[in-house]
Amino acid sequence: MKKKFTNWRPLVLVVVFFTLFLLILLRLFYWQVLASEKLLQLAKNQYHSQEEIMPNRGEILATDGFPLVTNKKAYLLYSALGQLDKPSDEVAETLAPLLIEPENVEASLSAEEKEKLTKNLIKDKEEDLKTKLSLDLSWIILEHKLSEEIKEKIKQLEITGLGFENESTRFYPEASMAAHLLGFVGKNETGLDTGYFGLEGFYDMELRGRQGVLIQEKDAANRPILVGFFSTEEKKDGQNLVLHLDRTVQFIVEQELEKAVKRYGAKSGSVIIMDPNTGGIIAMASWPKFEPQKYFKSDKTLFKNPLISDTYEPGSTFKIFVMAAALDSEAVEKETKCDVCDHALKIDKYEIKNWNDKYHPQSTMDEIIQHSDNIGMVFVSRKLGLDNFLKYIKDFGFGQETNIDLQGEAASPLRPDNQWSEVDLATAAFGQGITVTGIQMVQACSVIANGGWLIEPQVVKKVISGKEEIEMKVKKIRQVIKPKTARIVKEMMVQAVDKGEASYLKKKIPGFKIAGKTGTAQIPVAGHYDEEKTIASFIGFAPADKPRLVMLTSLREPEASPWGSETAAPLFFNIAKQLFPYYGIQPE
Amino acid sequence: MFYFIPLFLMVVLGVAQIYFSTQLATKGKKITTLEKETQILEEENKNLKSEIASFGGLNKLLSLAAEKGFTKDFQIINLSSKVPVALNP
Repeated sequence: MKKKFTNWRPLVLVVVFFTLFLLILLRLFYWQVLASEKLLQLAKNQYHSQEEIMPNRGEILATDGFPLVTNKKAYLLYSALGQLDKPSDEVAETLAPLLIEPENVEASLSAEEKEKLTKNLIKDKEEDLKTKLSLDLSWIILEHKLSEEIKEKIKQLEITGLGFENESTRFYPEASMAAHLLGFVGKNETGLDTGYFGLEGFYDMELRGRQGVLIQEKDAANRPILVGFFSTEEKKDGQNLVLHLDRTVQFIVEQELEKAVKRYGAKSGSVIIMDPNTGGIIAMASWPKFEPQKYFKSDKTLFKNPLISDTYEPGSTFKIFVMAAALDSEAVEKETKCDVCDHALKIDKYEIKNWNDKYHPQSTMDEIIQHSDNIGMVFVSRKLGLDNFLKYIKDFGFGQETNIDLQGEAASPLRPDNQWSEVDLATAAFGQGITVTGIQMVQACSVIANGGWLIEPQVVKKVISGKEEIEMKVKKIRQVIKPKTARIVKEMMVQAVDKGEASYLKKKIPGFKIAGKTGTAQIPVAGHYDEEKTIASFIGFAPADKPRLVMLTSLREPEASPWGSETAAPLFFNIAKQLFPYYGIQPE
Repeated sequence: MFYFIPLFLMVVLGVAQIYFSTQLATKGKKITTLEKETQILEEENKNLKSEIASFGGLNKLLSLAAEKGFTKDFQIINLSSKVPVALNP
């Protein structure tokens, strides 16, 4: 019996050891084979550090290299929810007043209204923070784009579980200058910075750049292990844009535009200045405007650029293009006399009159422009014919987009060629029943200024990508009229300024040769034209013999006077008066 | 005699590995310090750039000029480019 017992013990021991060995083997098989991928990943996560390197968004520079839009340091406030040392409601109540910046409250409000609004904003922010802090997450973003000052105030609260990360925000050294042209940067639906409207919208991809990634092994003290794994994808900063825009000219234009809108009681106003030889936009302004830095405070209707997005009936400013078409196609000559200019005309059921109900029998072509004679223009359009009219109008760029490098351009197409009646042609000859945008008008006027070439307008002059500079080429589209025709129309426009209804303004800047044309367009309302509401405009270029700039000024519904000669023309001359010495243009 | 050579090489390479590993470890620390310094300098640069830009804004310059008593002068005299004297004797 004793012998039997001693033989059994080593056997059990062998079985136990064998079982344990088998279990260890199985466990090792699980770790080494079955779970190896997962464990390898966990290990890598421990010693591999992955860092996302955010690119700097490209700057937008004026033609002198001064930044109109640059980047400024800002902070992201986050909370590690499990680590908060205070109740989340208390944290929300403490933080909310700090996150509402006083300048974000409308400045035009009274002190009492401001206080009430601030209280409401703080309450809303408090609720927002409470909701975020109550979420079942380990890490959450509480606020973006905090200033250094607010960051310091929050730091002083010494709340454990709150932290900051660097980020950058757009900064506008010239405040709201050229807001419609620049656009703004907001967040898209995924929370990424995205450009909207104007240049920010059009060049969003170029300005945005490319995010970089750095993956490397780090030790327990978070120091890189140089012999370890290393992988990097370089970040690529956004490209910088250098504009044709001259900030001094833009500044003058914006100052004068604001004054004019207030002086004439207009609802809104716009000015655009273009170099007729390159198509470069030197200035572009609209009033009212918004602040790109605080775009969220502004009425959304202000974001679109009226000069490229809004269409209007151009009125008499359109006459120069119809006249140019008629002269170029040799339908009329400069000396041709109008034999129907002595009375109002009746076409179908419509009666066509002159703006002041005065008629000038046997007017020559330059007198028609000088008097802004509607009857004379009907005469010209009849001589020109519908086919030629449509051909030239399309060649001048009307009815299609100019392809300016700004987001939000719109152009209403011309009605189909077979739907034009006699009265449509007659009214279009003096700028009624046809719609245009401000940028189309300036582009078409440049054709007369530069000797006949249609040039694509462009805002960006140069793109800087790292050390590489890419100059944007002048885009000549087609020759619309002969240089000789351009010269004749230019002289007509000079006469219109010297002897037309805006001739009194020449005294403001004697000695300078300016080519221009006034326009007063009625506003169509529910199938008829409003008797009182007008869009007053003036288009022209200077110096007439060697044009440096083409300018369009327009005021919507001016109360002081409905006429372009009494509102938009003075605005044109006030700007020109300041630009001549700036450009060193001397009187003749 | 020759069996000392591999032994010698093993010792030399071993010492070299220890030396270079130590060097690399300290270099990692240096790199971290340099990276932090670069980041601080880049941020300072960005701040200075935006500060300079804010001082160069035309609205700011206009108010500074007004404070110093400068005003706009519209009385501009243009000098004729024609020479006012006879060129020939």
